Amino acid sequence: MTEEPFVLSDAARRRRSPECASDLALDQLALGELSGADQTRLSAHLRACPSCSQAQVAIAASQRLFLAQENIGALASDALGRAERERATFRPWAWVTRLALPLALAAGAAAVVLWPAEQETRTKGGFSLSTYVLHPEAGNRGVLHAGEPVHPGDKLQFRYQGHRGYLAIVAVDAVGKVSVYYPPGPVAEPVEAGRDLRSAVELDDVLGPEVVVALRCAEPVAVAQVVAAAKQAVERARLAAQTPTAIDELGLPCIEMRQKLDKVGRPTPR
Amino acid sequence: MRIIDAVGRFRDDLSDPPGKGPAARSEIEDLYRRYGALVRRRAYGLLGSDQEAQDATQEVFVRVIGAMAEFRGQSQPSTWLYRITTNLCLNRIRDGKRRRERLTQAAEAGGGPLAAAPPSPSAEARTSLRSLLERLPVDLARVAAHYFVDEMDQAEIAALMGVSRRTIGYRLDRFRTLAQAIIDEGTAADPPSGVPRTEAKSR
Repeated sequence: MTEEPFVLSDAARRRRSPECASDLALDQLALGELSGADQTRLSAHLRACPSCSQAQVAIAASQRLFLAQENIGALASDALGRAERERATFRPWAWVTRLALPLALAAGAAAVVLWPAEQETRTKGGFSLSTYVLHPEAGNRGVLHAGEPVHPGDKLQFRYQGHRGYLAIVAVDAVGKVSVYYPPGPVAEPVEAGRDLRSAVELDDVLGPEVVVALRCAEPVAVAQVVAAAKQAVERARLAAQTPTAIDELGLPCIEMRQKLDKVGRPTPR
Repeated sequence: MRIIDAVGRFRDDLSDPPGKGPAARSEIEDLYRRYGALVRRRAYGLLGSDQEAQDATQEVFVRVIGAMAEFRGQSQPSTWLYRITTNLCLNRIRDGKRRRERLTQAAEAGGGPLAAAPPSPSAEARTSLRSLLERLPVDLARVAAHYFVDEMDQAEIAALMGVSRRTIGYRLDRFRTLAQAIIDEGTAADPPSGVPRTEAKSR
C-alpha cells in the first residue's frame, strides 16, 4: 500500500479545522446570502483563523479586479446575444412533436404487430441504459452507482446506448406492483444511441428492492403488453415461492435488460 | 410511481425565455457585477486557464439568462452558480480537444487575473487534481472538485448536490481509490504532476 499522494490528501486543502470556511461560504458571506447566525459564527472564525481570513481577502481582491478590468456591458451584451441565438436554434422536443402522429397511429396498430423471430431480435446486439438520479432538493443529477440506494421522491432518468429500436421500461416493486417507467405513451418509443429518454420517473413510497426491466424491441410494442407480461412473471415468481422481484424473463421477443434498485427511506436532514 | 417530464441534462439546462431590451441588459449587467468574479474565479480554479475561465464564465451567464426564472427563485444564487459552473467546467476538462489546448496553454500560463484567488490548494496540486478529474467518472469528479477545490466539507457538498452525506463519503472514497490506482499503476498517458515519481513507482 503506497502512501496517499499529496493531491489526494487533506493536507492539500486550505481547511485546517471543521470550523474553517469553504470558498462557497466565504462567497456567501460577501454576498450577504448567509443567515444571521451563520454570518456571526463565520465572522468570529475569520477573526481567529489566518488561513480563512487570507482566503476572504483574496476573494474580495478578485472581485475588485474583475470590476476594474472587465467591460461589464460588453460581457452582458455578448451573453444576451448568445442566449438569444441558442434559443433560436435549440428545439429539444421538436422530434417528439414530429413523432406524435406516427406514434398515435402506431398505438392503434400495436395490437396486430407480429413479433419478429426471437433469433432475429437477439442478433442485433445488446444495449445499455445509464441511470441518473435527481434527488428532490438537488440542483443536478448524478449517475446512480451500483449499490447506491434511492429514496421515495427521487427522480430517475435514463440515457440509452445501443442500436436503434423501440424501448419500454417497466418495474416491479417489493409488493409485486408493476409500474411503467417509460414511455409516457401507450407504445414503446423509438430510441437511438446517446439520447436521454424524453421522460423521467418519480419514485413512490414503496420501500425495498425494485427490479427495473428495459426492453428494446424491433417493433413498437404496446406498453400494455409489456405490463401484462411483467404481471405474469410476478405470478410465476409467487407460484415458485419467490419474492415478486425475482421474476424470470418476460418472454417477449425483445432484448431485455435489468437493473435492481434498493429503495430506502429518505435520510433525515442533520 | 409517476412518469414526469425529463429533468434535463442538468437542472441548469431548464430554460425560460430570456428577456430583451435595456431592462434585460441592465439586469444581466447587475448579475455580472455581483457574481461575475465568483464564476470566473471558480472556473479558473477548475480549468487553470484564464482564457478558458473567461469562456466558461460567458457560458455560465448564457445559461443563467436561459433559466432566469429559476435563477431568480434561488434563495442562495451563489450555490446555484457553483453547481452549474462546476458541471460546465468538468465537461470542458473532459473534452479531448479542449484538453489538448489546455495543456498547451498551461505551459504558457502565468498567474492570470485569478492570482488573487484563495491560496489553496497549490497550483501544482490543482494541476494534478485536474488530470485526475479528466479521467475519473464525472459524478465522482464533481464531488472531488467541491471537496478539493472549493474546500467544502462533506455536509456542504451533500446539501449542494441534494444527496446524503453518506453518498458523498462513498463517492469521495471511490474517487480516492480510483485516483490512487491511476497514480500507482501509472496507466495515465501523462501522469499527474506533483506526485513524486518514487511514490508513483513504489508498487
